[in-house]
Amino acid sequence: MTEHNQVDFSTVLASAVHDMKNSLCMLIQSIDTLSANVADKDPQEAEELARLHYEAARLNTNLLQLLSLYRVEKNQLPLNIESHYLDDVIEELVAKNELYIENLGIQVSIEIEEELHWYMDVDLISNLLNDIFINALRYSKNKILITAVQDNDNLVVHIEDNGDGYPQSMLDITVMPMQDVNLNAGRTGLGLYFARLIAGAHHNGDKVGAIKLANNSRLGGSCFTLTLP
Amino acid sequence: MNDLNRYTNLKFLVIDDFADFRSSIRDMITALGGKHIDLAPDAQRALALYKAHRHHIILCDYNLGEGKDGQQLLEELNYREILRKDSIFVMVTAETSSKLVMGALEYSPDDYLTKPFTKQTLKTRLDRIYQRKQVLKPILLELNRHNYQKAISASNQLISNKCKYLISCLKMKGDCLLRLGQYKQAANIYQQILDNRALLWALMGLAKCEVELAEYENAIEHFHQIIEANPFAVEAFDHKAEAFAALGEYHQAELALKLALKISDKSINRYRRLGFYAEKSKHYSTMVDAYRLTVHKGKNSIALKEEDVLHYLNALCFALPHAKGKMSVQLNDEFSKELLSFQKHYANEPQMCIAFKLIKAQYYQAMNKPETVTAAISEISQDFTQQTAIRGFLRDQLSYFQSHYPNLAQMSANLKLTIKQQCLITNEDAHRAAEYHQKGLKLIEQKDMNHAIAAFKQGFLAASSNISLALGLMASLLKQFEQSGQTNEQDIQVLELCVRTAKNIDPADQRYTLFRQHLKTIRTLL
Repeated sequence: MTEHNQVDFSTVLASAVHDMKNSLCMLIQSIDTLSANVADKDPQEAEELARLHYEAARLNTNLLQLLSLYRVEKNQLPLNIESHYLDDVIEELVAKNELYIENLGIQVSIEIEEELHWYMDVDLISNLLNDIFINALRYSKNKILITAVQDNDNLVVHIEDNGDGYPQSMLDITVMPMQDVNLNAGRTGLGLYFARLIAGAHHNGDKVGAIKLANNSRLGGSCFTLTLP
Repeated sequence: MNDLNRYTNLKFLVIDDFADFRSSIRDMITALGGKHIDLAPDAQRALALYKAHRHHIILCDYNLGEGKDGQQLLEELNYREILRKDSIFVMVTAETSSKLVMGALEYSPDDYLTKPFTKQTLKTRLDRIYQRKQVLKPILLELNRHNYQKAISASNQLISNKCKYLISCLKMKGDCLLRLGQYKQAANIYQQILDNRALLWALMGLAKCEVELAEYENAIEHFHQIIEANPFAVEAFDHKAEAFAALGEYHQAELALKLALKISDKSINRYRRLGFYAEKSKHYSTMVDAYRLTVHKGKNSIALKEEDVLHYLNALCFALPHAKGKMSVQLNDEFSKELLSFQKHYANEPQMCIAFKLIKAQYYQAMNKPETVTAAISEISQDFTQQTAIRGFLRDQLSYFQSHYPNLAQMSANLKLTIKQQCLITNEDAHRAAEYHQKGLKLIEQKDMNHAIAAFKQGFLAASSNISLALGLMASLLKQFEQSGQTNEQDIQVLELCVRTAKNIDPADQRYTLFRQHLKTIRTLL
């Protein structure tokens, strides 16, 4: 095969991922329809479906991250920056996971001023927050608190829970240099790598977005912080 | 209206090439209370359905298989002025494709929805857009009526009332000002937004104003910034090319358009302009390729004009003496074959036949056959005695003939006279044009209409392909006609040439609105 005919593997992968996403969409929508039908009749089956939905949604998030990373590699990740109201963004985040939240019986509270709006690529940021939120749902005992405030010239979003907190290996991921992040560490590694990348792609003048993990939650568990300039 | 029955009386249009997705979305809408739901598998059927029903809410997938994609459908609905501005258009995507962002710098949908989404997400989004559009309705209704001045007043009202959607108001106001040709005011709006945050659409708006204000260097710098941030911003490449051309830097213009074509090769107009820039920068093989593609891509389409055919043949003919060996044989074959087929196609259009004869004379000249040239010229000279109203494309062909083959034009007294009567002598000089353009703008500000017209005219005759100059000159000439109630032969000829240049404006360009307004005025005045 001549060099000219060789197809770049990452391009093949990206196009395959595209296809997978289409199938996954159908799958998720079917699960939703099924769930709506059995919700009242059979609680055990409903729980089963909720778990199925969660796994499918995780897969979808993974594929989205993969596509974004592909774009970054190809230098094709232009941001679509617009002004968005934070209560809208967070409200949607919670609505998207309603099924799972109800199923786990977790109490999610939101503290955001109605007027608060900020400049961001809302799709990328929603994906980022969704990944973190799903993790919090998984590790929280029964409470999650989402807050967003303007602090000086930054937007600061916290997602906190009352679980056991982040293990040390994860706390390390957000502070080590990008190239040292061990993606073999599994999904959490990829998720946080993605989060750092997306946050870092947001800038305003000289200031750059960032994420932070800590175990200083007001609820007693982990605290994720996203800062956007 | 309460949330529960908000959607009962609204009409929905769902566009997706997958039947499964269509029915899945239909089910969600039904669950939200929607009753009137139309489904379309492609853009063409969607367009027909929307024209018949004017749906309140459109959910359109970005990928629609063969044919137009969702963004192209949205653009077409917009520039054909079919889409009601208070309709809700949501683009559904499998992922937030970055290519989407580019086309959407200006004609952006009301929202993007990423698959998969739940009924709940759909409702949350629709509720939110519905609320926003309710608040912005005073502006949107004026936009439906193409009443841009009133739309500006409506936005001012909302802005001073501290409307929640301030940025949307400013964006629409900027767009209206562009459409009215009030570039200084529009630039102020965009600058105001940019002082706060480097939003790409605002940068785009500002750069467009700078082109119209003949501040080409600034414009190029700003288009460059847009492209840096978003390499898919195809429009930024197009406008950057135009700014380069206005500076006489045709090679740069050519490069910018080539990059634009790499992103999207669907626009015939882009090939047309590439041909023109390549011709100016004497890149004859690019010129031939671009004009050839213009004709081939436009075949069987109303977008193809007589001029395109003539440009293509002229290009082949002109490239001939510059080609060597095998290339020369190929061009020769291509020319003979294409000319024959076009002659057949346009056999019933006498003026096209004359244009073909002119091209044939050019061809004989290129092939170095002086006797045949002489015979051809005398035939053409005869033909012109039978034509009274010369059409634009033939006039263009005469101008081309005069500028590229001056010796041939001298061969017949009658032909010489026809050219003198029909063609304005232009003398291309980009720098002089830019100077006169700026001078004209200044004089307009000082309300010195007569001198402004003179300056614009000088500028335009030095850059007859410059759209901004053509529009500026049209505007001032028409104003003068209106005020004095008088017209004169020479100005009408200039006006016609302006129209021929300005009709190349892409319908998606805000200047198209201004151009159409001018055409309306011409029709009432003349």
